[in-house]
Amino acid sequence: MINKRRIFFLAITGSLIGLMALSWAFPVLGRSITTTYRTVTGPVYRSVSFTIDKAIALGDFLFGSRQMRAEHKKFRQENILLSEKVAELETVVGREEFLKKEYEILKKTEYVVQPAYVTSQDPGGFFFDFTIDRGENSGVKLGDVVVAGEMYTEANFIEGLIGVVEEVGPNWARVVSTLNEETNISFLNSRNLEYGILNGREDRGMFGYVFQTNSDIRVGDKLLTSGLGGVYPKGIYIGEVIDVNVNEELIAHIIVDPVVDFSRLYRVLVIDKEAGLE
Amino acid sequence: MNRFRLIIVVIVTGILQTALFSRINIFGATPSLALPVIVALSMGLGYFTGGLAALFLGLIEDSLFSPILGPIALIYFIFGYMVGNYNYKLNYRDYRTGILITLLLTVINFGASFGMAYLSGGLANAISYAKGPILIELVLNGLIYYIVMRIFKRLFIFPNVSYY
Repeated sequence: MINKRRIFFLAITGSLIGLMALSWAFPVLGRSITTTYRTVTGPVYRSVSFTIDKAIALGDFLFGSRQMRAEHKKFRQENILLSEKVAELETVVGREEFLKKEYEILKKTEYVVQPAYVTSQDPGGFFFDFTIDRGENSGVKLGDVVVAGEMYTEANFIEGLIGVVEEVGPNWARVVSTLNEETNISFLNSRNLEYGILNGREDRGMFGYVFQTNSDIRVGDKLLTSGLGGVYPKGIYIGEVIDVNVNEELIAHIIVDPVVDFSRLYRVLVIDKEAGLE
Repeated sequence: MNRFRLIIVVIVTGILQTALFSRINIFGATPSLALPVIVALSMGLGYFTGGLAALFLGLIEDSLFSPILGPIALIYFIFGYMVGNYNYKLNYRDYRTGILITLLLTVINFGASFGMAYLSGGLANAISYAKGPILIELVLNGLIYYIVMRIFKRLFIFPNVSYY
């Protein structure tokens, strides 16, 4: 009996180690298995996510909290927009030409977006990796950018940066979120138009630094994607600066609180990057 | 009958774990359905059935989120096998035993997730999770084990001693 148990344990353990080695050495093999599984189970996951989403919507409708949150969010966004306008006006004297160009670029940029459901996420709940129910069949491509938006298409308000599509199947796509430490984000400060990079993560948020020395970046400044590097299009809201530390070399190191609440992410918008950059 | 129900339980658990439970957020904690199910099945049905059920649950998670196939399956299989291997010493009727094992495996599993988070670029979130939410997850997983075991006692016929 003991031998039988040992043989069973060793056989399964050995097979799994072999499987790991094979899928590591030949990523195509591992990818084909995962693609098949995701494609086959895609409709099931989509149904489950749709049901969960509707159940939440029903619960919110019955208890009224959703409406309150929507109003709160609307007022908050209006407040943010007003604050940004005030901040821009503060610097308008010194940077009028730059702002004019900036305004023209932002005015011309119209992204083509499509809504998608988050069908599954990493079991640890860290949300640095998740799957959506749209894939090649819906026109989702590698490198498309994922942002958060309102639940209903009428609103379609792009709230903030979530991540980038890293793998695509026929009816699914895997998204790597901005919470992932390996994701670097080039940013633009909406108040003073300084550039920098977010190249790390900690428990309070994302951290990085401003390229320019003697920067006047402040707590409360709002950061947008700069478009540098070509990974993210320009002008997507990343988050707000919550801490600034200037080192001896006069480089400002910052911590940024992401604008997106990842714990309540059920529906996202996928930006067609190619169409958006045309 | 047990076999058919077991297959359904594994598939439903795999889907619920990745589509529903991984998105539940209670004070920052994300409960696990897979661990309590593995403990309950292994305690009730032994090392063979528990180990295989755990293996397939792990493969479902691997195929969705792991860059390589096998690591989660290996961890879950070891959990299932170990609990099932000693199930003749454990009394599945006593919920406290199962809850304690679930708590222990939650801590070990978090340690493994921590390692994988380090490799896949989510260490900051894992550190943040270790500072508090893990304690809430322990409570939630214990509670889920209690509910799962109550359901399984009606769903499966658990032998007194499992030989295979």
